Amino acid sequence: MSSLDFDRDFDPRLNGPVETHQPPQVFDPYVSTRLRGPRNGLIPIHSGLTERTAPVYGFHNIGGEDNDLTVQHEGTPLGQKIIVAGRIRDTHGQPIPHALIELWQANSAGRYIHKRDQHPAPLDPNFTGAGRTFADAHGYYSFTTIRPGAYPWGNHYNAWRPAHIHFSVLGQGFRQRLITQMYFPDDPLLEIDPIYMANPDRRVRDLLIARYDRRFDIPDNALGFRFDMFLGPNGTPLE
Amino acid sequence: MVHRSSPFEGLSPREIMRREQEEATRQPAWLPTGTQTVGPYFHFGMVERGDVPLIRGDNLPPGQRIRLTGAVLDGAGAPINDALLEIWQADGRGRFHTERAEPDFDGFGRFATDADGAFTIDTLKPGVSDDALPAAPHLDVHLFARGVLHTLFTRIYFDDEHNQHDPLLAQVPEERRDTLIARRSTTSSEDVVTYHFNFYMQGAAETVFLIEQE
Ligand SMILES: [Fe+2]
Repeated sequence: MSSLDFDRDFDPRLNGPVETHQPPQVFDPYVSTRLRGPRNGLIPIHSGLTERTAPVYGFHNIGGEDNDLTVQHEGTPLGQKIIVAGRIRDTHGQPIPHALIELWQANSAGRYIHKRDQHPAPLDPNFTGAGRTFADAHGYYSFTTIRPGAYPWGNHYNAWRPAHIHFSVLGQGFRQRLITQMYFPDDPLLEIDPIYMANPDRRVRDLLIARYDRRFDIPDNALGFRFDMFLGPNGTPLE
Repeated sequence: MVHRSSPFEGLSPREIMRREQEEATRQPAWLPTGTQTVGPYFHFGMVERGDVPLIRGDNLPPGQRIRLTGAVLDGAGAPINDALLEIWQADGRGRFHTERAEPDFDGFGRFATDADGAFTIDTLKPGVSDDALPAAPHLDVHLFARGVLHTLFTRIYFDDEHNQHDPLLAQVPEERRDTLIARRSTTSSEDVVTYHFNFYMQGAAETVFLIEQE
């Protein structure tokens, strides 16, 4: 059973009163949260100028190939080539122009190039798995990459992360900020994944799943997925 | 390569999306994208060439050079060796560098903790910044780590400044304000003043984390 029902209108619009859309600090099934999640609640504050401002991000010197993870080495990486594209908006629906978007992921075998990843699946000499780009003036972004594999982790016996891509988004103010993970449709691992399931709102969980979108296909070459992200308006809360 | 079968021949995904019709009606609110943990393998995605330092060259605005050291500790007192601190701050005059990309200092940096959960942040001490009320010198901080589900946010202040009138700190319960104040070290030199600050994720000294309200 998929946690995403393609038969109904897939619509992120809020259709009820605002509730808590974000995960708790401590989610017992995700073992690492037990000693790392703050036990006190977040202190509500009215923020200041620091939270509403941000630099012009230039520290990465982003190049033309940084959003195509399939051309960063001499050869072609193994696995299924995909397009991941979408739009960055705030929760009022306004596009967030020029957001800095970074992603990182495992290769098609489910192995990260990261030195701490000890999963004995093979590394791919033609795939690093990191990319970055800026959204354009209308909030649109696009990456070309390889569909990552699922991988085991130590949370519990025979625990497997569903295939996912990590995303970081920096918007127009320091607090217009998102760290999340993108998943793929029809993955049976989703509903038994403590990280995905930590988000209590099913609608919010659904929106972490990219939609297959044929319009983004490169015919006979790559499959297209759409992943839109919504950040809090600059200077107001995320929830 | 020519894709004759595609109605979107020659168009990039961005161009395709641009052609979508605008929403017929402006919706009052959309669900925020859910936050997820950064996981243990963020380094090659966000700090690929090592940390993103705050001090990146010699062409610096005026300000006192400082070094902030400390560690990120879990509820058992164990070091968190896979945390990432993201910093945003004013320069020594209290100004935010928001206008153009500046190669040597713009007030933004990223620092991953080491095997001992420790970090060293070399920067300029921020000045008093203009707000509705003047804000005491502070660093804005995001803390990311495996096992941290939210984007945790807080501020770090300095114990040798006038913090008692800071408009944000005043909103933090008095008995917990100390958790947001870095202590000046006695080993500070003239050139670089050193401060110490630990993040305690849990326990009696649990660091205050903040969230904006309407
Ligand atoms: Fe991962």
